[in-house]
Amino acid sequence: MVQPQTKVMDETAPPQASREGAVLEVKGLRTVFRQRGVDVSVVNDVNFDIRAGETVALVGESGSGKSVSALSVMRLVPSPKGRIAGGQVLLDGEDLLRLDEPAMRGIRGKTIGMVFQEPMTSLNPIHTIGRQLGEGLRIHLGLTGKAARERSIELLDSVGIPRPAERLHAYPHQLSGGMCQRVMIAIALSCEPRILLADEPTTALDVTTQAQILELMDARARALGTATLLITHDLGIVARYASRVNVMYAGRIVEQGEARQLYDNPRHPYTRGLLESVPRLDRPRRQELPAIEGLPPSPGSLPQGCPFQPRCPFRQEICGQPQALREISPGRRVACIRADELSPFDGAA
Amino acid sequence: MTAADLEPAPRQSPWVVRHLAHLLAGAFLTVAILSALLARWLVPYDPLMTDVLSNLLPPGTSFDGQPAYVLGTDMLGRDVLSGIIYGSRISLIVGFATVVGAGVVGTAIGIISGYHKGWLDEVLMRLVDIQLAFPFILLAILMMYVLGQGLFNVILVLIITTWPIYARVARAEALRLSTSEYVTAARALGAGTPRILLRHILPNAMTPLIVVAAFSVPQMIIYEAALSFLGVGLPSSELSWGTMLATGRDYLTQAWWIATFPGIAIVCTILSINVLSEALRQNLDPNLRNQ
Repeated sequence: MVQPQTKVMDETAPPQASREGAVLEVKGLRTVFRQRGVDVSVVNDVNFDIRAGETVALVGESGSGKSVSALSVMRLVPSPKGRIAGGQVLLDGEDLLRLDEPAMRGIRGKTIGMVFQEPMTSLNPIHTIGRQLGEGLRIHLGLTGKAARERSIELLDSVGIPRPAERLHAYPHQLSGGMCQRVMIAIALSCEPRILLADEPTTALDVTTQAQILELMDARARALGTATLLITHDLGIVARYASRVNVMYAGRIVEQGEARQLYDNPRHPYTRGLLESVPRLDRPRRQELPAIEGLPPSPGSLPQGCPFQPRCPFRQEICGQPQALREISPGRRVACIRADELSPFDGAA
Repeated sequence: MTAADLEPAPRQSPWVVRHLAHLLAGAFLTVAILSALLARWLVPYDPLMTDVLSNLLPPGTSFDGQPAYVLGTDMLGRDVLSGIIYGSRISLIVGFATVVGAGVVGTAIGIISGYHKGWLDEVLMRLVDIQLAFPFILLAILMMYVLGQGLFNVILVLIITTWPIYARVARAEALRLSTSEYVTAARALGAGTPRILLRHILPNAMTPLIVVAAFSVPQMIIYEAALSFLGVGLPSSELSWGTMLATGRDYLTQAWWIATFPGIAIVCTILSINVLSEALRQNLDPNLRNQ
């Protein structure tokens, strides 16, 4: 985050597979929550894909629908209020939304692992670390007793927890937040899944621990060949780990593309606003940090047309018309009618 | 090392002193349970033997310098101490069996209801509402009348009338826990509903349920007494603390000991159970265990 580390980004990046090479492909996903008898779209026509072994970021502010997108992939949207109203979630071409519940349980934890935001509360306070690590092993690999114990020790060791054999008997409250998140990563990767969904994995941690956890997650995912969906509101961490970025706003993806391109030349005014509001070393210190005016709309009362329009400095009459994500160059999509007219981005407003 | 040197840990009082209440409670319950088991050999008199000549004798009455009726006699001349020893059997069985039965039934229904939500929750909770809308005593009398007197029927009826309390509490806990992050994390790991209910929700929902159960034991003892008093519980030939309390009430002004001693037995049992259940709760909670 402080110094961009180029080696992580380029040489070791996976070969550019075609779109058919995607392990996970989300198409036209729409997830709604019932509010006072009305279905409100929280995730609206979301499309993105992840290729084998690749790290893809899903960026947006609180309430933009990032977490609900991840929960929809897992089919864990809290029912009965929330439900997936449409779209496809293709895992190796198979639509997860059409699977029955037992088949879906076989996918969760085995093919798709998940890490959550709050490590301290994502572990059950009354079970030991060992028991919780053993849960996935028991469910998917049928490991019990000594075999499960040995595998658990290996797993704890692989996420850099000292004295793993002793830690098996520890309770979550005896570990720090960073340690708990390491345990969560060990659990999520215990069955060597093909995809890891990391929902704000470092938001609840302090800055020094954040870097360690992200390094660890990246290293483990690479070692296992696991593709990662990194969900975050922090553009700083995206630059270093993700090869492609999806920017979400008000339940829609407003821009997607290669991380480098998107950073150098954001085409959606919202992405621009986000990038401008990140403090940078190469700008005058006394200059005021630009902020995006206003607040994000609530899912129940989206403005007509472009959802970002009321806060957009480039707003025009035409923005009241419906906007669709359109391809402006290969792999690069943006949902702004004026994307081509905007002046080149110079990093400073 | 320095911290230890500067501030020596406060001296802990001896184990016996710290756990005095637990020891006393445990001792009392042990005595109560033993006297229930060994009642036949412990009683100084046949508890049902009436002797009109020695009725309403105060506690500590002695014959020929020999202590006779330690806790006095009732209006029919029956020995109160023997009655309490014999009555402990019924009271303890009713108290524990109904709480365990109602607790298991109510908790199972409650956590399924709270975790499943939706239509099942609606159906089960309306059932609970309907049952709670009935006055307890009316429902119990009606059922006892249909089923007939007897210990098993008393337990059955008390289970049927009190499970909704556990269902309510368990449902509230399950609702709270079903949205907790670790339940979502367990589901994301592929855990099925039975595993989530039994390993993640039930153990975390236990604390309030144990408190409710501990407070219900004495209540069940009293309910049994009430049913017996109304003539639909146990036949009057059966002795329980409840029946003794009920009969002694009429003589409270002349012979306070008839109702007082069974009352004290009930109070001590309640207190002991509460003290021990608090200790149990602390031991179940890993956050408190290591303190």
